[in-house]
Amino acid sequence: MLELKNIESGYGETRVIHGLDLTVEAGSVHALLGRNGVGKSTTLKTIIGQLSLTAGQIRFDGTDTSDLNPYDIARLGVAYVPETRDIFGALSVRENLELAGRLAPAEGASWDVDRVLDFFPNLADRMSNGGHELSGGEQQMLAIGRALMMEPRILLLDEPTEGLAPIIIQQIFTKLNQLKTEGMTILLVEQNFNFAAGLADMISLVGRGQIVWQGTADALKTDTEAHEKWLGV
Amino acid sequence: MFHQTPARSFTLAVVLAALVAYATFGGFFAREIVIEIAILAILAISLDFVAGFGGMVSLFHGAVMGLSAYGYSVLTAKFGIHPIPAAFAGIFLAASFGAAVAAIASRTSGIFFIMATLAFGQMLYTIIFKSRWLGGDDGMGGIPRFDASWIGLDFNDSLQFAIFAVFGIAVCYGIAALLLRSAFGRTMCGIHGNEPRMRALGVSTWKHKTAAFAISSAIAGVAGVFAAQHTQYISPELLFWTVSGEVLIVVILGGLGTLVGPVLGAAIFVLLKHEVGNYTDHWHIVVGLLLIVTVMAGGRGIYGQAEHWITGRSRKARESLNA
Repeated sequence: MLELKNIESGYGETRVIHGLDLTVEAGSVHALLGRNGVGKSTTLKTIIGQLSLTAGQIRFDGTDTSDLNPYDIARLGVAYVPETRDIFGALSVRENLELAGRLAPAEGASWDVDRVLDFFPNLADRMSNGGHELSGGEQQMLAIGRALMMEPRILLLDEPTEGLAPIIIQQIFTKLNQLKTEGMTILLVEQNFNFAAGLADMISLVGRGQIVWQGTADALKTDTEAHEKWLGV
Repeated sequence: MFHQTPARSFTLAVVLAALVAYATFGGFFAREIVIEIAILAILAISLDFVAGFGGMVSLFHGAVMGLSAYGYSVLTAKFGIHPIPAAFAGIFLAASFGAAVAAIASRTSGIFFIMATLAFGQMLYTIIFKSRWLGGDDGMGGIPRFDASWIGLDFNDSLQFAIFAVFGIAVCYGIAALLLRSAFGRTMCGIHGNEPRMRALGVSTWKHKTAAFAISSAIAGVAGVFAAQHTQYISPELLFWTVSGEVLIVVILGGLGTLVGPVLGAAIFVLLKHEVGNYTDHWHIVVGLLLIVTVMAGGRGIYGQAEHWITGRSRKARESLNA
């Protein structure tokens, strides 16, 4: 569904991704793991067009998105939940959700505000609160809810567990698992190994801007050498 | 996000009623002041629409207003076209110019955006200043006011024209408030808050900014039509960048991003100019000091500061009740 072929990208003069190849199959959960600064988040930002490619090609469902604008890529159904969550503080929870739903394709719409509230009941009590009044966990739920309002065909999640309490992480895990069962394609960037291993059908380890290992979570657990080399600190 | 709170509705109603009362009981000179306030207030609403809610500060709103005034004046005084279609044409001209400038300038942001709007505004000023056909620096006269005899009104009467101008504030405020409450306004707030995020949500942000400027410029165009009809004479001075600077001061003085603040700011600014101007030519010093005080107090502006105090107090009162 999503194919990255030999891509290169980075920030200004600094190149972070050096010829990365990755394929995410439709309906699967694919996790990118690796140490800090190896290019995991950069990969996501390149997929959504926030950073432009200096080489290589990205295809989403057969469409070449390499030169498209970020908003055109978003309209193809690529929804991105940034690490910083980026909730609009000046807007209420409801307004944050409606904003994202406005540009979603009308036909076959399956997500609306009510369904997001069913999905994340914590948000229901906070509907009229400003975005700046939410806790970290609520912000994360709103950020995911906002992405779902876009009727995504793939969900890109950048460290959804960062800075959250274990009980909230558990809740988010359950919800993402539920989305997986419903057939949502997810590309997940994580530092939390157990969280990622529990969700992912496939894991790719990123090192120095390339994919250095690929396999299932079980294979990674037994491959202590790869684990040590690319994840150990 | 814009909220039309009861406090804002009340303030707007009080200011508009005070203007009508002042015009009614104050004689000819008071009516001139009321019309001047109304024109500045409409221009301030148009600037607050993009600057206060979209974060796009512009220094060409004076030029946009002037363009519409020239459009209206040329069509009526030179070509004898009926004032109503001429007014719409002037407003359309202003909106098109605003959209074109924004389409180019909104690829930049911050100081570069401001400088780009300043440059385009000054270009327009220079073109009109140099044009012999438009009267150059002598300006143009013989501009008619709307003929409202079909509803029994006479806009050549200063009182009726002043009330008509105050009505213009109410209409422009209403249009701006409705748009800001709509999905359009919400998207604009989102772009202000985090533009890359809005793009990732599928919004073509520069198109949206261009549309916002077109709307803002149309409102500035309404101010231009009033300005041309008010003095029935226009000169390139209307387009000079200091006019844009002045309206920016009015918006900040009244309360950026409050919509009603700029209306209040326009009233205070014009009254200060005339009242202090009676004693000294250096009325700018008083406005300057007032501006420094409001900015130092937190930059909320006169209305914004009052709102901040009142909501702070009512919150404290609620907390002490709960305790």
